[in-house]
Amino acid sequence: MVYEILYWIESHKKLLVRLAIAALLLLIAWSIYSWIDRRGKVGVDVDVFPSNARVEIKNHGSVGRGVTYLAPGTYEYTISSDGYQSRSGTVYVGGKTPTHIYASLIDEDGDYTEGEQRRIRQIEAKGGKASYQYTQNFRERYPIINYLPVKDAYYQIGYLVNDKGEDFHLTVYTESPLYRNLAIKRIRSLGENPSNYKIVFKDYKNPITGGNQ
Amino acid sequence: MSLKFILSIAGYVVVTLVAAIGLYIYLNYHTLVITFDNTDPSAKVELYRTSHEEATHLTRLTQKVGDVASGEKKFLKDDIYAVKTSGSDYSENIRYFSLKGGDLTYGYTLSFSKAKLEQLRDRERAAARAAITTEYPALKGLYEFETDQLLLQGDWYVASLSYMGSERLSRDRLRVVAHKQSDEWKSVTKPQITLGAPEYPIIPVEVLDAANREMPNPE
Repeated sequence: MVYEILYWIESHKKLLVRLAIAALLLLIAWSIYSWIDRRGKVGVDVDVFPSNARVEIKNHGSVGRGVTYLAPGTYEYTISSDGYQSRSGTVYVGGKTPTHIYASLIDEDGDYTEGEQRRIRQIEAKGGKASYQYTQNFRERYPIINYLPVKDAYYQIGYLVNDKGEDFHLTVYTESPLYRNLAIKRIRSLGENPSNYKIVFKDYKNPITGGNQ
Repeated sequence: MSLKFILSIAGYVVVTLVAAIGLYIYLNYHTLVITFDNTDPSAKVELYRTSHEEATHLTRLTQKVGDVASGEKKFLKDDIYAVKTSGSDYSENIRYFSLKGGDLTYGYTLSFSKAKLEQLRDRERAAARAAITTEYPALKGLYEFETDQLLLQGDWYVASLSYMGSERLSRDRLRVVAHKQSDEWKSVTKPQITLGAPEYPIIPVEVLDAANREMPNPE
């Protein structure tokens, strides 16, 4: 038997060498393609319950569990599965911090096996770690928050975002026009350009627009 | 080994080399497109190759790549580039950018010289202010135009407004921007204490910066 295999290898040596070279080239080409395809993109780890749930990312398409590479930006996603309540969310992809989509759908019957409960706990644990990384990610996107809140005796500068983590804006609290101007100067002194931010003056009513900017 | 076998190995090597060269070009050369509005044939937009050091120290640009037309595609080696305007009525308005991140479409804005803009401002001021006060009639009697400036090609007007009313807690200075399109001025921001790019993404950054420039404390 061994002799027959050796004989077959000897008689097909050229073919085998060619096949090996072709396989090597294919492997190199695939590695290069993957590397090029991922350039400038950020890995987004996706893990959901149930495992067969559909994760649809708007303007990108559906993705499976595991790491998906996306160009920096803000993406809306929807997770759905038959028999479970669908849920939607927004994921910000950017900077160097890895991003995640970790979510468990709620069973419409509320009926979970022990294995399913264990799986949900695993995803929740991942979510806890992701929450910490989200904070890091947010700090990269809005570096001014590393200096906030500023609590001066006469004014305060903070920031707010909406429930989806969007509409980031700086907030300035003071009734005095003088200290509002000083608060803007303080933002400059932190190395930040006021033109880059929406700034809301919480204790101010604009006589022309009625708003607080 | 037969000649055929050697040739086939050589073939693989050649294909690999060609692929490697193609990959090198793909990774190190990218397409640059510069877009801008220029209706004046005397103004030329020039592209220069520069370096991180030159861009940091703002040294004189020496390696001219050539003149560029808006929308023209250039296939260039990854590096730091600079674009500037030449023309008697124009400021150089040098802008640096990197082509190292991949293909790039860069939006450039030509800017008249300071003298030309000041000359134009005197001519356009009344129309620009009228557009703002027409949009916000409540400004009349309550605010007066304090400082103003025309920017870029004379089509952006920024002004600060000082409060003339009696309410002490409303003495904030407001900023407003108007834009001239199709020979008509139109207010493009609300009068606000600061004007932020997240709210007004279509307004060029240099216009917002001019509008938000540091001012003395309100009296």
